[in-house]
Amino acid sequence: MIPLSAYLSVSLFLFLTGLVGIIIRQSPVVMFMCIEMMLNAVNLSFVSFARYAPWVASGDITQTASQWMTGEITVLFVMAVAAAEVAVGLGMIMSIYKNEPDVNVDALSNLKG
Amino acid sequence: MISLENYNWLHSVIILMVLMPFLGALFQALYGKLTECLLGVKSGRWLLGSLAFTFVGTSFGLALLVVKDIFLKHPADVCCFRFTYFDWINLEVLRVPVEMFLDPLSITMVLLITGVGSLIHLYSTAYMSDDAEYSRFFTYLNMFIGFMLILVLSNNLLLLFVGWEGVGLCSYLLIGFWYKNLENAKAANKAFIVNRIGDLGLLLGIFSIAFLLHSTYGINSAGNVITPQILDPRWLSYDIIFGLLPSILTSYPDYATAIALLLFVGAMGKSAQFPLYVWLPDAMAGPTPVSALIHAATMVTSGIFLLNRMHMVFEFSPYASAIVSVVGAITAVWAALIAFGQTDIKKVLAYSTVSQLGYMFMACGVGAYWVGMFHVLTHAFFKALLFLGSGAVIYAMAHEQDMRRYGNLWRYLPVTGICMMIGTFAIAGIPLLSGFWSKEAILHAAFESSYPANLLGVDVATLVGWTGVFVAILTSAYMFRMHLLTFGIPFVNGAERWRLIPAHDHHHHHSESEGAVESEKYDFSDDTFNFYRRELCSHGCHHSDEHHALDKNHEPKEVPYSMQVVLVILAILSIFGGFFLHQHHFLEHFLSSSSAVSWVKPEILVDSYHDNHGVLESLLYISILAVTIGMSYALIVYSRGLPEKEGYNEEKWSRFRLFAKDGFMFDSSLSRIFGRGGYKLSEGFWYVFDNFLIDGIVNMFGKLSSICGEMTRFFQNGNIRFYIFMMSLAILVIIFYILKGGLN
Repeated sequence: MIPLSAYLSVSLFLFLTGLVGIIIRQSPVVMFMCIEMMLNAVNLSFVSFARYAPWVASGDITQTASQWMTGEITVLFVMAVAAAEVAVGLGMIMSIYKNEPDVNVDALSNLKG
Repeated sequence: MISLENYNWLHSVIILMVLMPFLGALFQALYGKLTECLLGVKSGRWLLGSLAFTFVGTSFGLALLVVKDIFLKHPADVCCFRFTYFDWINLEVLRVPVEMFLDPLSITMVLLITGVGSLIHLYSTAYMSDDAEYSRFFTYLNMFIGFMLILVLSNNLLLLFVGWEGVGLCSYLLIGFWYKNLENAKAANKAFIVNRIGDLGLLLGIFSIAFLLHSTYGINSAGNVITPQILDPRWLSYDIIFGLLPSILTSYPDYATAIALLLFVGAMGKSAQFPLYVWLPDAMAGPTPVSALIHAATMVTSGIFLLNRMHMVFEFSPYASAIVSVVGAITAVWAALIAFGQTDIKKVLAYSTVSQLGYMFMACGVGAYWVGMFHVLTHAFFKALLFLGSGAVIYAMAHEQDMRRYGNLWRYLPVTGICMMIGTFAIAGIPLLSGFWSKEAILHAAFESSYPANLLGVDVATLVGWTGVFVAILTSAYMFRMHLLTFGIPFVNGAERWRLIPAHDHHHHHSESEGAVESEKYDFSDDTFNFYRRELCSHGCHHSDEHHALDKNHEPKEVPYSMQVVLVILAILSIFGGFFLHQHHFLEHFLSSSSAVSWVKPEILVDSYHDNHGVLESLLYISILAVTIGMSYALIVYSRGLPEKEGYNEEKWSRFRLFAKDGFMFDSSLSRIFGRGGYKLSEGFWYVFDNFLIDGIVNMFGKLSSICGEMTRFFQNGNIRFYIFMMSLAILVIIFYILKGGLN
């Protein structure tokens, strides 16, 4: 069986890639993609933990269904929220794009003192 | 001291006497304009003028009543009354009641102030009748009389100071009465500021007396410790001061000198003595009755009054007394010399006032305090007469004050001329007129002074005496100069001098004369707020209506009767006043008893020796000779009219006269040293303290916070990706912290 740490390593790698991407890229669309990547890295660790939970691994059916399924449900929840967030965020990007010639994040500094 | 039981009415009479002028001032201030509106200008002013005169006259009447019922019925040395009205300051250790002190000295001053004051009020009703602000003038004049009465009647030094400042204020207001003319406003400021210097001396003197009373009260002469609580809390009152000071000053003679000198600085300011005299000639910017009342007859003598009141302190300090007489002598000579260079008739009289005040201080300095008061009285008569006479001349000559444009006025103004001549005779010291008696008394006192008064090995009293003789020569010379230039034979090519004024010269001299407004003369560079310029038009227009200038066809007219009456009364007083006061040594006995508490004179004052018997015997001839010399000089030089050497062309003037015209450069040097020097000093302070120290500290805090801001600003650069990076870093740090067990 593949150990938990392998899944977590992939998750960490994805998360860091997303983080670095969000820091170094200037395009808001790419930054959104990076955010998605980070969210999915977290989702991966959720499902991994859910699969490797002791009572799941040992097949202990005395636990309730919610305890069996918590990780997966949270992942679904995160995906739903992320979808909503993207809808809002892309809308904002579109409206900025209507007013500004370029949607470079660094150039959007009108509120800076 | 006679019992007050039979004189209950005195209590109210005295306060009524003081309050009368204040009531008058209040009425003039509140209802003056209203009266003029209701009754019309002419009759309204008649009413206002009579009221102003009545209020002061009532005070005079009350004073006469007091004299008749008290001072003429009892020997003078028992006539000392203290009237307490209410508490002004009431602390545990200090109680300053409003108290009046009636004794021969104060009643003499009261009679002088209200008597001469009411005469001058009468004169002013006519003199000021054309002025736009009639009631304002009488408000100030009445208020002045009230403050002067407080000054002389108060029983403690603080109340005296109230009066002292009050008369200073009224003097300021009246010098600057025509305040729209910037020169007058400046003269008023100058008088006020120079007087502040003197007032500081007086205040320090009062503080020193208070300090001395309190600090030395611990141990009395018997060696018993006395706690200050036993000290009467009224310790600023004269009766307490005079009771305690002799024993204290005997043991601390240096304090006597210090206090005496500080009080003398106060007297110097008010009475225009040598370094502080500069304000008095400029004070002539005020209306002429003001010059007569305040700057000649009454207010300027309050310094002499102070010395008389506090003479105990001076008698304990021969050094201070010597300095007083020397300063008086210097002032007398200095001002008399300057008077020779003046062409403005009021300036001559102003300098002669300064000079005569010097005489009074000479008398006080050699220990003859009553003689100082004697000269105050006679001087008040003849100097008020001379000033009011000069006012009549100015009135008749269309506000022209330059004596070079007078001449032959004898023909046009006979009454004024005779009165002025009497005044001139009196001030010069022609025998049997009032000035003669008091001047004789001063010289006599100086030569027979019982003071040791050896200052730096010089016999001060004798020196002062000879200075007095010299000043008598000068006085008679410049006074006859003034009289001859004004009234004397005028003919140059058969016409009076004002008929020969060059046409181009005609315009610019007006602005120097009192009250006249000429816009081109003004220097508005200091007028930041556009105050004078804004008002100028209305005032200037107003004045040009009534202003009639001197020209070829000018006919001087004698002044109204209400002014002539005053002149005649004062002339009579100038003739007989001195003789009347001096007969049987009346004034000497009257005033010598004036101090409330008798004390043993300190021994240092007794063992002096002067060999002046020869001088004393021939003093009468010496002073007559002095008058004759001065008079003959003036007659020889000025009897043929205006000499070429003093004419309009000042290039022909002698060097001495030019120098004297500028007041020996004293005034201008003072303003250069203290004005510009003070400016430079302040500039230096500004640079070092304000600019460097204070601004530096403030700027340092500013710079400091700005540097801190610059440093933290790096983190707030508005770059969102940087924020995310920093946030991640911070989260990492927190995670590591938790992992290492930092939270436990």
